[in-house]
Amino acid sequence: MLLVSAAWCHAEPVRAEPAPDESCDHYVAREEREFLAEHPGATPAELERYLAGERRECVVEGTTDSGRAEDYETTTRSGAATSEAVPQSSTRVERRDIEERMPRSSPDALRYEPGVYVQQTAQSQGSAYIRGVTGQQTVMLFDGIRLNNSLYRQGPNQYFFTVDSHSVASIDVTRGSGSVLYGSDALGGVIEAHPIEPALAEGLHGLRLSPRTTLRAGTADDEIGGRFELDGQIGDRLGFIGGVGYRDVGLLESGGQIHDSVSKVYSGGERELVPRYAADGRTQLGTGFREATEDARLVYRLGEDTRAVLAIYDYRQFDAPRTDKCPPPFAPAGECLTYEEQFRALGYLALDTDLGRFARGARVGLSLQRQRERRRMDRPASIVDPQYGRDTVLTPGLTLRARTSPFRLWKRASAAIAYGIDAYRDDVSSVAWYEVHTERNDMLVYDSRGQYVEGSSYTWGGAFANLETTMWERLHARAGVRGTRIVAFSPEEPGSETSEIDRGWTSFVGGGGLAWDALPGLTITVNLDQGFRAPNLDDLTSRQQAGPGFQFENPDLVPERSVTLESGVELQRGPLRLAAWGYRMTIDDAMARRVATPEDCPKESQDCRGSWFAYQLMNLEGTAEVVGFEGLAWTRLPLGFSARATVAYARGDGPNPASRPEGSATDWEERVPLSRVPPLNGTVELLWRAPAVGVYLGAGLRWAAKQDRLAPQDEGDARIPLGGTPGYAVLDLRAGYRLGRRLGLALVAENLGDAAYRTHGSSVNGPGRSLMLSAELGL
Amino acid sequence: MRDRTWGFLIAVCALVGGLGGCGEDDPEPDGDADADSDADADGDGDGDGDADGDGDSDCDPGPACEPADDDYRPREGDPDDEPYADCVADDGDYHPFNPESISTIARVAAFETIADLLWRGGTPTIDDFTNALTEYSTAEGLESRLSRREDVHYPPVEIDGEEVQCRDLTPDQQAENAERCVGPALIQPILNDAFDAGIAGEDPEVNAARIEAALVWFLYVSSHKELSTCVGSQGDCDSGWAYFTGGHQRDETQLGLAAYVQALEAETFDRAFDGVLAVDCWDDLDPPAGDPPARSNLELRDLAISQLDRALLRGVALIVIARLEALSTAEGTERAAWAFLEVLGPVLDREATARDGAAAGRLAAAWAAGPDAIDVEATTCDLETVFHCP
Repeated sequence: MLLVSAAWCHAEPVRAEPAPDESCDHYVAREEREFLAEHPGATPAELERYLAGERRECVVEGTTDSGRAEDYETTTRSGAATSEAVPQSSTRVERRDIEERMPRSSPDALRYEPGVYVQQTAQSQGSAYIRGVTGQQTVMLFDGIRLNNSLYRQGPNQYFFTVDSHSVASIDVTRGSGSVLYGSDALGGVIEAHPIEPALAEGLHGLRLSPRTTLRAGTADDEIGGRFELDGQIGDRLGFIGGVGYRDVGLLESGGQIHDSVSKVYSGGERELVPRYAADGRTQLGTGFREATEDARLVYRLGEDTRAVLAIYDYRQFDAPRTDKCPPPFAPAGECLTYEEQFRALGYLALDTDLGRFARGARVGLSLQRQRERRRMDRPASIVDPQYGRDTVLTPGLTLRARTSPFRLWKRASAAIAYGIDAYRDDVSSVAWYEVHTERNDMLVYDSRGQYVEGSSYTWGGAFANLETTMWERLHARAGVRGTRIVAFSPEEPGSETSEIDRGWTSFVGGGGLAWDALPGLTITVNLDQGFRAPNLDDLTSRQQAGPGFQFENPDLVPERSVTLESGVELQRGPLRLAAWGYRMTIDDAMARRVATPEDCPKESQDCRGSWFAYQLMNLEGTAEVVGFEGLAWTRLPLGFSARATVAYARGDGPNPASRPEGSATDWEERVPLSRVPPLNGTVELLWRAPAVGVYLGAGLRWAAKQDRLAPQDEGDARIPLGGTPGYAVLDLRAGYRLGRRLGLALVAENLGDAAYRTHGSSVNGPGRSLMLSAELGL
Repeated sequence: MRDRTWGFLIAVCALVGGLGGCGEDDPEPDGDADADSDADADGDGDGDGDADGDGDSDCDPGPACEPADDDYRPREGDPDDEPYADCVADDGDYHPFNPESISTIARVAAFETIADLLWRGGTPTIDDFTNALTEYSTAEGLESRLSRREDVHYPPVEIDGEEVQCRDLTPDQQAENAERCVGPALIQPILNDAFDAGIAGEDPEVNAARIEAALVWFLYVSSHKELSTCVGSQGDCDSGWAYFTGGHQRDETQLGLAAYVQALEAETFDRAFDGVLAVDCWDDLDPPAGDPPARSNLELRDLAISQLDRALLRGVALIVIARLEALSTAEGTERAAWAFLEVLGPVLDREATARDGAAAGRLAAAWAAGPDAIDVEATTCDLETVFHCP
């Protein structure tokens, strides 16, 4: 049965193929009918997963050489969802979506997903908020391997940006807690990118090589770049795919400036909105970057159910200014914080195999990830120029996942158990220094510590089991549990008055859900899941200029724990799919920033004491909560048209991190909004495709309401206008043509209304009216 | 005795030594608002000293000083309530708007750290200069503010009829508007060069003195600027208070510029503190109102700023006078004293020109004369005369 065989399996059931002259939509509709006929009890989620594969295959068939479809037979794992049987609120971005929408990055590829809101601290960064949380509170995976490490910062950062969208076949977004499967951090959701796979046709002898070149240009930021990709096969067992890419991105021109919506004599010190603009009032300083990527993936078929994968993905970003610090508010124009190097390399060896009834679809993976960040602060008027910081974290990892064959619980109930273990260790190197280069001097002076403490480490391991059952064919249930042990170590550093940290946490979380197929195509689901996030090294040890101010360490933090109750209704009938989910996530001991006084700062941290705003993370006393909903509607219309709409809302509140001040005349409130929770937002898309001739046209509208529910720290954040971030509506048009694998053209006319807009919490405004063009040539 | 007052007490002692008013066991300034402090060497309560130290000053700077009728005088209970009605500052304390987040305090503390490294502990070493540079240049530190400091005594820079901030100008444009763009155009280059030379081991005492003078200049300009601009940003009032005092009330131990002034003349310190309180009082009496919020009584604000600046200028003049005395009496430190005077002396030219053009001309000539040619007594007299009353 599909629901218990797909997860972590490397192969889907054998699929049909579209007739040569059959349109994709027609083909998929036919497959839908046949699937429902064969699986009358299938849930909408099962149907959608099946059809997703069919759509993908159809598109691939329409776009690639014969045999290319097999690329995808290994990419349709279960994704990040907690269970095959009991759905969570999840969606998938397909390769075709990426090619047509032409996102600027992997996070950007998620902009049309319900409940996902992409904020950017810089043009070269992007972080997906899922259900109101991001960064450390979501888990990112690449081919099942965890990307999160213990230096992940709290805010919208560059982490998922370092996944090259050209190397991605699809991205799954699962909203809701995933801590049972993925451990710490998976409070708000899970994002998993699936890499493109080499075509591996059976029966091939000799060598097959299929090169492909993609070129891309954009007018808003003078982007120009490309990728050369080689897909090949040697014999009928070894396939490989790899590529190299490069792009150069210039200053980003927006639709205009964003302003405070209220005027206020500001009592907390000066503030100034970022970014700063060039003389035209539209082009944003502190944007632009260069990027080089390389990846190689070898797949060796060891048997019918077994394959080995050796892969490396190397992302290198150069000279990417942090927009809100380039220049910092009020600073001279030449001052700029630049990420000279933002590198991430991931290599892994994985074995996908079937070891019998107790270990179906098993995967064993050994991985090594290296993240390196080198920052340069330019202050041209100073003799201390530049200042540097460099942080490196090396993360070896081990994952083992498998599931049992379905077994009978009783006459009308079957079950399967998914289980696994995982272990990772981060070893951190961190230094900071400044240089003086004058006619008299040429010297380098090291600080006593970097943003983190040299020699820190973070080790964690865990094990989980997840039972999935189907009863009376229409009732599905799951129940899972995970145990995790995390140890954080940071040595003492007397010069900076940094205390040693040697702490450990053991955490158990559980979760379960029920799904009822009330009617054919209609499923009602209720899930209750715990989540947790242990404080990481960034929380425990970092000293850094964050968006709203200087953040210094709190070595006494404890894990935050969440409980998510969600309910969803999914309807899949004919050409219509509807999904609506509501949720409430409560977080105990939530980590939030409190405003600190200069006296609270470490004595040796002059930059902390000198900041307008200093912050320290603390565990909130009481319960924070995020409540919200997300919805998706998709329908297939006549004449090749289809329409899709999403909507999402989240409202976050928590105990006020600040103590009640003395005296009665105060506007202090017991509960305050959580920081940077996205506003009500959504998308609308209308598409027309003519697969027979390879043409498509489309329009996409992204909109967001004003967000004026601001946390106390947001009011000092130079990224957020006083009075809140204005709402917006941005219309894009798309068009494209594809002639199999040989030629592909895509055009996006972005922001037709030339709206001045920014996603809430971002430093950088969205592109103004502009064009993006992509051309693909292949053999 | 606290290190930070030591050097200045030496200068004060030298000033009054001829009168026997200060021996080696002199008590340190206690900040008790005693108008007849030791610094008021001639004992007349008007704050003018015996400039030539011979016990028989040839300089007559003018009649004894009295506060202006429209000055804010909290120490006297602000007797006439005009033009300041009863306000929060009447209790004699400054009332921060955001007492828990006054980042300027850290910058003044950094100034004190630099002082300990460079000019309070004997001849500074290369390591001392390096450590001082680290302190000075750290993120959000002194240099971060100095590099954008504007002197609001001068009108804003205009380009094509529009006001622009110095930070957005090119270095050449800043140099063309150096008086307004005082931080990046005038002060920062001095500090860059002095630190650079100090780290290279060149003339450590001279370069320490240049750093000291440049930072005192910055503290003066910043105190005035922040208290002036808090019309639109109440946090600036806190910064202005902190740039002057290091974040302390009148009866507490002072840091930074206030410590210099208090050590030299308590009454001038008190008058400057009264000026800070005048701004505090104005802010209390004229809170932001309306949408957008605005002040309605900027005349009172200007009056308060004027009172403050008068006292601050007197304080800066006292510092210069003390260093002039060191130039003429101390052995082995003349070059350092002159390096200090070359930087801080001309800071007074703008106001001197406004008050007494002839004296201003003589002062300008004095700073151009060099250490061997300057007429210390005459220059001191000019300063005492022009900046007679706080």
